Amino acid sequence: MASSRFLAIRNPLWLLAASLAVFLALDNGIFRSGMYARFANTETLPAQVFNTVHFENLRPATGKREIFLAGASTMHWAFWCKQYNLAHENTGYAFVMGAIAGTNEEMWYYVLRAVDPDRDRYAAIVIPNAGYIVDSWHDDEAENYDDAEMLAPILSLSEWPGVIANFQNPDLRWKAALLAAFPSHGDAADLQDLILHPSLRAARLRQRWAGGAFWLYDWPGTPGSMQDFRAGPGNGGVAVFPSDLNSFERANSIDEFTRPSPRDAAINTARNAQFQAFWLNKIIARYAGSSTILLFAQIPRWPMPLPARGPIAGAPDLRQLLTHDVNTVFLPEDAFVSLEQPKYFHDTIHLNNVGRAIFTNLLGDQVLRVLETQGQEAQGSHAQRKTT
Amino acid sequence: MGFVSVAFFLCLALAATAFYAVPGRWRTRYLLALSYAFYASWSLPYLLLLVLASLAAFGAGRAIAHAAEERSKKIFLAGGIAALLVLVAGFKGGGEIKGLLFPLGLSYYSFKLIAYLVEVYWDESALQADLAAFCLYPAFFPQIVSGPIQRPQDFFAQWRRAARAPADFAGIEDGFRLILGGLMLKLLIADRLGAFIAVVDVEPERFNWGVNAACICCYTLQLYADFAGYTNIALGVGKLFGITGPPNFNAPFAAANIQDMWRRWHMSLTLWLTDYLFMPLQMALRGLGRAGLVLCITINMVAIGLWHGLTLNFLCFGAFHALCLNVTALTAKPRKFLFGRRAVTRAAAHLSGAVLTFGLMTLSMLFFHTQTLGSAWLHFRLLTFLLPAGVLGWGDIRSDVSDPVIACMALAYYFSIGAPGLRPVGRVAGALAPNWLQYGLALLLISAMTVESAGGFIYGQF
Amino acid sequence: MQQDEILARLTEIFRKTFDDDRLTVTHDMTAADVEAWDSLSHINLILAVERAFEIRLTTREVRAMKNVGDFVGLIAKKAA
Repeated sequence: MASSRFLAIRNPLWLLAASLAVFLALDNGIFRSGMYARFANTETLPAQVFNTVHFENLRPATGKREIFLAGASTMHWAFWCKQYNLAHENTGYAFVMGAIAGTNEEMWYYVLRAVDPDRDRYAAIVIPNAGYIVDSWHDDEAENYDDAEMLAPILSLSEWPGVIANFQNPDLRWKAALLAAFPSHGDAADLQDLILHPSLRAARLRQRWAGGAFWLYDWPGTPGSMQDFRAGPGNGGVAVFPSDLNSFERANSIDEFTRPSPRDAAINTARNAQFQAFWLNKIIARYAGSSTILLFAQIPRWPMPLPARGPIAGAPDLRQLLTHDVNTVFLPEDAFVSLEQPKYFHDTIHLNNVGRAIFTNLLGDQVLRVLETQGQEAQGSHAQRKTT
Repeated sequence: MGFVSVAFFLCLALAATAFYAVPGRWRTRYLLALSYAFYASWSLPYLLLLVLASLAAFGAGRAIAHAAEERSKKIFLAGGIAALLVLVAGFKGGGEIKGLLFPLGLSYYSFKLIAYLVEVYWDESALQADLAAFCLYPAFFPQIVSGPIQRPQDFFAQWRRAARAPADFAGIEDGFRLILGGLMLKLLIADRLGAFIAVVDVEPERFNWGVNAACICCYTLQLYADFAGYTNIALGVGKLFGITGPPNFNAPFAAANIQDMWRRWHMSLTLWLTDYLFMPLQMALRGLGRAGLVLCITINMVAIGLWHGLTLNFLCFGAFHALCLNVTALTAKPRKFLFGRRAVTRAAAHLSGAVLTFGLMTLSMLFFHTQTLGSAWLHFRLLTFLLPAGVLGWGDIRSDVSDPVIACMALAYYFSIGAPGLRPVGRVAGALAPNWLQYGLALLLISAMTVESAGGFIYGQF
Repeated sequence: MQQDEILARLTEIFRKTFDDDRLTVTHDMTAADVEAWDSLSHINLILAVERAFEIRLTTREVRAMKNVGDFVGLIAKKAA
């Protein structure tokens, strides 16, 4: 008892300083260091971002030229990495799955910084979009606090100012700044879940760790189909749902059939185009002068034209907003339009297993073809430079 | 600026440090300016109202003390009280019609000013001659949002010392502990219960009986954790400036009956009403015997109800408690005769009384928590199976909201009965870890366990 | 009336009002020292004292009392 009393601090200012020091040391040591993130609930989006980076950095090199697939769930569900790599073992190339559900262009930028710090790890990076002509949508993608929470586990302190400055709303800026200052705050919901369900957490972690570095490669996919889906008459509404859609997916489908007001559509389209272009240009700038090729691709968007996603008049074209560099390639916009049919879709935005099998081969082959021609050109220009 | 924000505590740390650097004769004006700035951050026009009310009460106090005749004293007293009550009632009743916001803390600072006028009337030595010190009493920022309602003599006596004394290290550390404890009660427990209540409140009839019953218990427990958490923070902040405010809660649900509970629940308000309403009423009606007692209790409890707002729901809340208190007061002797003679029956009566008290308080929360009588009646019917319950259960509520409800209810109840056994544990912790380590860990707990929906205090609206 | 006499009669009144035969009233006793002495029984005490000593107290006088000693002083003054 005497020992702690001896160590006690009486002056309030020093007491406050020492308490804050203890707090900040633990907060940074446990929560910013990534130590806690290893035990985070693998089902949550921030943990998926962290795990993607964590396991990609642990993964041993394939010994081949690696192609990194960026993107959100639409890419993750659509490309069967393991299958394609097995079928194309002798090409000298291997695909690496880095697409994470719920992410956007801003997160892809920070994920790439975290997995490829020296810009020399990948032969190519595939960056998908849901339409070169930017679509309208209900939400303003840029002003989403969840983005900061998803990024928190992989951001270093020096990267935070950029993320904070990207918010226009002062309240969101302040919230993001607090998250940057006190990283444990972002893990509150996760920690609560860990305390209340420790055994479930342990089981999930064991499963994830058993999958190791390749956990994203062999996702089983989904057999569902939008074949039975019927849109209602007129301006949207959903008449018939496929039988295996859960309530969450049904609600999402209804959303996709509800057209935003023309004013919202115009504002959000402009904002979203600006947001996408800002972060994609940052990625392009980052890889300028590197030997990594950036491949932009419009991947299958919908099982049928969706009112909420429909482009508005005069919508900007992403290809005109992005910097064109020697290492940027834009795949043709009609490359995968043939897959935009109900039978290939699981819900309103994700491919099902049938669609995935076709898309995997289509995209894989196109990417390899581009890399081969680019490789020849590069060699050619290299030889030219030598002679001149 | 709210109490639960990083910005507030940053400003507070600077303001409190500066306070002890300010020379004694400037401290009153410094703290008054700080308090007015705090109020102005919420509303500038209503700050003017606070200043005007303070000045008027200051003048009325002098008039009462200096009046030569008893009759003029009474006139000044009645005039002052009436003006303040009209102000409160006007905003409570008329504000909604005109769409005016209710001035922050008006219910609290007007009751402080009334207490001052009555005390001066009773004893002229209660007069405060220093205008700045007087204005600080109603405006003192730790107590302005939701009390506690400190008595004038107590405040002025403490302030005379605090305005000169060097920093009281032990008192300030008490303040730290109160603030940290209050934040935990509010952010870790009350706001989790609040998130659950918010989900069920949208359409209670869609949920099954178990969820509704738990939700109604949560009304009481959330209110306790929220308000006791607030009070701890308010008392802690006060202590940083050398002022120890009165307590608001003393283990309310350890009480054996509802009469005892009201001596332990929102004590600074109930004691205020006891002194300035109940006791004078009792003296006036003492010739009426039991009828007088019933009348006094009824008026007092209805006043407590209506203090929260001039609505039918709060009237019913007060009337319900008046009924409970009258029954308790009138059955005191037979209860003592029945249960009081043996230790076993005494203990059993105390235990069942405590459970009954919680149940009655929770039942009254149907009026307190809801906005309309129809809504209270809906909850009552759901609870008593007069309406068929809905089909939604715990599994249909977002798991991060529903998961912690039972644990948080248990924790809130544990604290509401006085946290038995916590003291020895605290002593062991104190022996093992020095104070800065304990507070550092508490900060980490608050940061890592605060849910996203954390927000304002319930009693801030009254 | 002597202070001691008042105190003796007060003890009797206290015992009856608070239903406790072991109570002994002292000058520095307060409400906190008697379990049954609360805001409800207080008025019964006042009433009993008023009847016994044939006096009439005002709210202001009652309120100013801090302990039993003050009470005794007040009774002595009023009953004089």
